[in-house]
Amino acid sequence: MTVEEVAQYLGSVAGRPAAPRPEAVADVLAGLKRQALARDDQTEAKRLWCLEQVLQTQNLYLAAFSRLKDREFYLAWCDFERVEITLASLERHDTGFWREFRLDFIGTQTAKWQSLYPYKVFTSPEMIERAECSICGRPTMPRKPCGHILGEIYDGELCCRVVTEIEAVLGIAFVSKPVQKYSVPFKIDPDTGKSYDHYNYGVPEFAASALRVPFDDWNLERTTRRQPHSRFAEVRKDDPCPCESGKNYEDCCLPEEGVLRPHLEFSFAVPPPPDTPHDSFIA
Amino acid sequence: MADNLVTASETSKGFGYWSTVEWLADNSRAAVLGANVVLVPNEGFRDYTEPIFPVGTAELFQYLKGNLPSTTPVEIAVDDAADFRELAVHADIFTVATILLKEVTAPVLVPLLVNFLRKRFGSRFPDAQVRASLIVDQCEGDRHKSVQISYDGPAPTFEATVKEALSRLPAPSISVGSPLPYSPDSTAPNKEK
Repeated sequence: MTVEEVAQYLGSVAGRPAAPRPEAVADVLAGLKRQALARDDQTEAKRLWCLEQVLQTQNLYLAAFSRLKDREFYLAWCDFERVEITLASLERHDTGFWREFRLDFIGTQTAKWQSLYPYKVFTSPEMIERAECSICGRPTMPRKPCGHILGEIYDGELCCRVVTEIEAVLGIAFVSKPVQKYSVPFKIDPDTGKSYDHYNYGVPEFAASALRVPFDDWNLERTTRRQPHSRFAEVRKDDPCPCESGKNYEDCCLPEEGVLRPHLEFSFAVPPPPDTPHDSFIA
Repeated sequence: MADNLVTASETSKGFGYWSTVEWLADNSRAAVLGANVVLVPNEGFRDYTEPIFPVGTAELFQYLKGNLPSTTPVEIAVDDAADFRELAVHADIFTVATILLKEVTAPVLVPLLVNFLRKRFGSRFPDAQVRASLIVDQCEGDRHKSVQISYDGPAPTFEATVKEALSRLPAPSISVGSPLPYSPDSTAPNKEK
């Protein structure tokens, strides 16, 4: 394959043919990059690195959608995080091909999927680290910098900060906005001592069931709607109101026609399969 | 201005303090005292006693050195790689190293800091959260007073909020200021003037 043929392949992601496999295309890009470096063509090596990131982003997005369909919600969450990271590393290199390779769509949809997840808190370690440059291996020395710039491309590779030593872990905090989104806390089963996934994935599950393919567009509107009191029959008058206002039920929603709860209204560009429920109480 | 995002209070940790800390070598102390802008470490985070800098400090240092005019010397209060430790706090709030600066430098430094944040966050800048502290050295003659302005909030409002806080700083008063412990051409810590 030539670079142009690879670009054509990447541009057809929404209806990608079965062959060649993405792994084969990754090998082609790696080979082309080696050739560019042999010519000391840094510009072409950088362009090929960008195309590698496009391929990886597309693969991760497709994998995430597939995992959603398979109800592997946490693993899909991790793939979406990697999509986000890969897109961020590409962003500063103004490649001009975001629309051509559907990266704008992937970025937008990734954020939408992430917003459907039930995760509210994440673990966040506080660590004392030493690091080095991924390009030259020199330790981080503010007064004697190696000269490589984080996020830039050298010899077709991204310059990163590589942590070489964790001197101490000072604590683990719970945060609502983590750097590492994969750090989702799971409950431990007291009988087995093993962690298990206790989250309610009803919302992403509903959206995934309504979509046939990963490149069909969809949107979401968040409002509130009153749900019948019969759904909250176990809540007593002096219990906290199920609307989560912090007031007692009897002083809040009980006198009203229903309990005010978040309401998500989906719209799909392509009609969902006929067995998709029109209305659904998820949580 | 978002008053709840910013605090300002007098601090004893100005140039006098940072140019005499015992863990800095003599030449580093002199460099700190001769600078207009100094990145200083966090001392005593949790129970950790060694000085530490937030992740991203080395990049910020290079950025400031490359973008501030040569008449505005920039330094970092650390000796070499053996002493440079970084604190990674994995919440999505970017903590900027505490910046000690001469008051006259502030109008140039604050927009530059915002440019650094814009570059770092890219398209995420509008949603980014930032934590930053500036220790502003005010002087009148050889008397000095330091005020720490701390910001904790959205990146897009950082510049306006901190500029507003800077504009509210009262003029330094000789009666509350103190002389620096030693002059830039001296290498002896805590030398009395």
